[in-house]
Amino acid sequence: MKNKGYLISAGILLVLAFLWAGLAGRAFLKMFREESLRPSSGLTSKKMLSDYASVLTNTPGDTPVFVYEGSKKGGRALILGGTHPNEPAGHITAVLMLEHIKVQNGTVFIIPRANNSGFTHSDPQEGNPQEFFLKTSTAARRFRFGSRLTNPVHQWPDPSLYINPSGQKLSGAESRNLNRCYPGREHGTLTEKIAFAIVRLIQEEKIDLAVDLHEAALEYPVINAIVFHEKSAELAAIVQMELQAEGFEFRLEVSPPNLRGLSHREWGDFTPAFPLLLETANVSQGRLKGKTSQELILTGKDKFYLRAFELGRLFVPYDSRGIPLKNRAASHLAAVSTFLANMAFFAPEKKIHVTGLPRPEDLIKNGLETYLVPGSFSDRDQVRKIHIILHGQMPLFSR
Amino acid sequence: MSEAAVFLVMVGVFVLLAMAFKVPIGISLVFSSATGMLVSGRSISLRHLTEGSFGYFDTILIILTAMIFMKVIQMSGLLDTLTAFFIQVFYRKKGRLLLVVMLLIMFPGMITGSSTTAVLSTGALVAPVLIKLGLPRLKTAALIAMGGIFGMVAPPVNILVMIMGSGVDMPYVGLTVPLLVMVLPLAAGTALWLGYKDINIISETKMRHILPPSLYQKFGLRLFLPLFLVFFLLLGESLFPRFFPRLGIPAIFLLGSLSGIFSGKRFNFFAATQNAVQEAMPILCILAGVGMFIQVMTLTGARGWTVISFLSLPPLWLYAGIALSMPLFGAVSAFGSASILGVPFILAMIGKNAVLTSAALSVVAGLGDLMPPTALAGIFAAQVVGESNYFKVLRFCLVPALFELIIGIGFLVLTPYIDKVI
Amino acid sequence: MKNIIHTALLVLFLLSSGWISGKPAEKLPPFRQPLLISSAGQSAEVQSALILAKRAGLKASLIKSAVKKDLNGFETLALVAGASMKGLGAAGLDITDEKERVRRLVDAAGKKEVPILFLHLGGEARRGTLTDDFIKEFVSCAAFVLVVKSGNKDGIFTEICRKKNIPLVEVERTVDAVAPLKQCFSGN
Repeated sequence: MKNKGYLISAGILLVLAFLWAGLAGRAFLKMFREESLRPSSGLTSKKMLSDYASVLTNTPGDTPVFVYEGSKKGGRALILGGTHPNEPAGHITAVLMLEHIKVQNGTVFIIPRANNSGFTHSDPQEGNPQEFFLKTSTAARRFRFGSRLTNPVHQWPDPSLYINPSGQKLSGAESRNLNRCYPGREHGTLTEKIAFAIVRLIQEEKIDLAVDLHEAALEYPVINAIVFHEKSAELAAIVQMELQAEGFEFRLEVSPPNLRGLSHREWGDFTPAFPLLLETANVSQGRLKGKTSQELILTGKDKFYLRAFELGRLFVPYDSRGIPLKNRAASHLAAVSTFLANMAFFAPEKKIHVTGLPRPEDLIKNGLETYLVPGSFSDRDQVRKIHIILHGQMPLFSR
Repeated sequence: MSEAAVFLVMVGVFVLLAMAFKVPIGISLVFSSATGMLVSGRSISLRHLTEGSFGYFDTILIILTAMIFMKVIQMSGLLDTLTAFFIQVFYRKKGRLLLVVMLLIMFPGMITGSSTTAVLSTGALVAPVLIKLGLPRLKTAALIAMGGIFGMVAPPVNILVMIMGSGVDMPYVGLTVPLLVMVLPLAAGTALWLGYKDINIISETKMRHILPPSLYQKFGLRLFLPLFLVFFLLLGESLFPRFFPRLGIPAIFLLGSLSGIFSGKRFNFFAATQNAVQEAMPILCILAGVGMFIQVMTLTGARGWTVISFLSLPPLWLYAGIALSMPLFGAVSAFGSASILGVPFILAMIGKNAVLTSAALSVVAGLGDLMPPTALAGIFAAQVVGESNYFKVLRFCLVPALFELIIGIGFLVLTPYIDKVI
Repeated sequence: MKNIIHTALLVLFLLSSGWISGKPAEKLPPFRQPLLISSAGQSAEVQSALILAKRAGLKASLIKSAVKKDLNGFETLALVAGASMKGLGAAGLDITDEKERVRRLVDAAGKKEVPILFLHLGGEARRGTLTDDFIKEFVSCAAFVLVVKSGNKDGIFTEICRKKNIPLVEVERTVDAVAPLKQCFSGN
């Protein structure tokens, strides 16, 4: 009889476990739905990253590459967003660029989701929302807030010690960090394959300027920064001064030669391109953040960070106005535009002239929503989400 | 409700359920996490609970497979054979015995950076030797637990430092000497302090008497297959990562266990796994619960509140804050402690050499594996010697742990001087 | 056209900001070219200093970790202060070693009677305990100090320069440093 009791309770528990797994699983699967990308009319071709390394074909690491070729010759630039999908300003900036850019001289390549797999999950124990919404004139545009790392569903298990392609020893989880895997390995892990394909793209497309868009937590010293490889030093210094004149404060940081596997280091050592990496200040990825929410991502307002600033623990100025996403995207946009504009000073034949991009100061004034291509109502899920944004919480047991 | 209040409510619910109502710890954590979400004005999100528990997915698999491995080497007769071998070699030399045993315990931890791996592999191997030679069960467990922690901290692989390093962009270079300087005296001191008085020097006849049955004559080297295989794979993966298949620790333990089926005494493999799962289940449940708890702490801002509270301490109190908070946070996980607190602490001491600072912090953070309710090192060491109440083991860990804390903090305070010497 | 507007704005700004009027030009030491630019703390602002020198039309070379013998052939030493944070300590930057190198370089410059121009171009973002150590120790060895204003919010430079009677010029933005640099070297 006792056995029967066990069987019944085991059965009930199993059913509950499956129910839990099913509900949670549905929430996780939602992250696999990609946001729509709406390139500007200046788009000349759309490629896939796997075009540069066939090993990526049909893998979750493959990602679209948008190519904008000007009618006149000039330099060639690569703009990389979404290396770390939990650093939304980089992703949003790349998206804004691909929706507006028109290239006159030269060619611009834009990869908005460099680590496509990282967008399909969120970091355990970080308590972040899975997505955030920007309300355009018609409907909200949805953007995923992913993870710094490749999805373990796509690359697993982590080794206890990761030795990256350049020989640097790192903790195992870093094997899923795209910006530690350069120059990549053709037959390595998924993340190494992505890194390999990006380096291959830079080589094959003869990229002159390669910019990797990032964000960092405010307690991290390399922030509001232009990180440059030695050979990009002069460009970085000039751009930093020009940006300062326009009211965008960036500090200069040279890429340390013994910190290997990072884009600014390995792109510089393995390709002819001028590599640069940009960091803006993102509260929502920090260790000190208070209650997590979509507002935190968008406004960058947080009382604990305010306290940390007062204690002198931060490396950026911070006040009660926060550091909103639109300002961070504006900083990125200003920096990228200035980089592009300055290429001609180094070699007139490398001139890259682009038009159509929103002005950074307008972005700050009018908000990101104004410059994103309006969303469509067709997506039922989005409408439901807007309802939540406008009318508050979902009932008990949401996902 | 303020973040601090949410945190207090969560802890309150946990304590109430676990202590007053004797609800299993893991389950108590689930309920306290759910309560945390509710009192902070959110609905209960299964997504967040599940996501949090997956933070320990790899650890859970390591523990599960290591437990299976332990059962297999017991049942195949390998454990008895090894014990017999050790006793025969060392029954007259207790100092050397203790030091060798300590190094053996540490070894798997040194190459994997995981104290659990150390405690459950070589820890399990040496436990019967020590007990047979007269060391009380609880002291044996304490020695194994401390050895596991020293192994986790000792070079070449110290995951705690790597985690902190990735938070401040510090390459994992130049750590061997500072880590050895701290860990070696601690390891030697702990082994002798815990064991020297109790280990008996015995006569050969007496030794023969307590010798467990060795199956070496019967099976030969084949008997050692699981052990060889595990060490070969673990070492290969960490020494030649470029050429070696990336299996991961769980698969390595599992392969080792499977090879045990054919290596010695016949036994029921299925029963071994069942047995292992049964023993591991409470701690696995705790880990899943702790993952949820941290997720909800972060979600509700309680984590941010904790970190900023410690960072608000005045400079002189900072060291006290480190000594207190890093092991305490280790109650949820030593790795979590390194990441959540270690990184801000390194940055708070930015004027000092980050390599030395992180090394010292890792020594302090390592103690987290002794902190209830998870107390991974303590719990498994207790299990290895068959003790159900791991608090009894922790009592004997107290003095070595205190020394570990003193050495870690002392190193931290003296960093500017040490910097000039090493 | 853009350049002309920039220059005009710059001139206007300099006139209004008062560094020309407030600090009499004759107080600026007449530095001579060529100029050796070196770092104190290995931060990346040495690159900015090089660009500024170029724009000021100066003959300048950059040796980030210059030592005594690198001074040969140079008439002025520009020390650009700021401690780099990337890779914290392990990125080849040992603060003790770095301070020792700068100390020796400054000594050698003193013996050779090569005057020192002290620059802090990183503003508020490039302050903090690490950088401040360099400021406290080496500003007093300088013949002239040029800083981006936000880096002197707490008056650390003003304080040291007043005590040691060293001319100090603050500029609003890094790029504004071109004019005072030009002025410093206008004596020859």
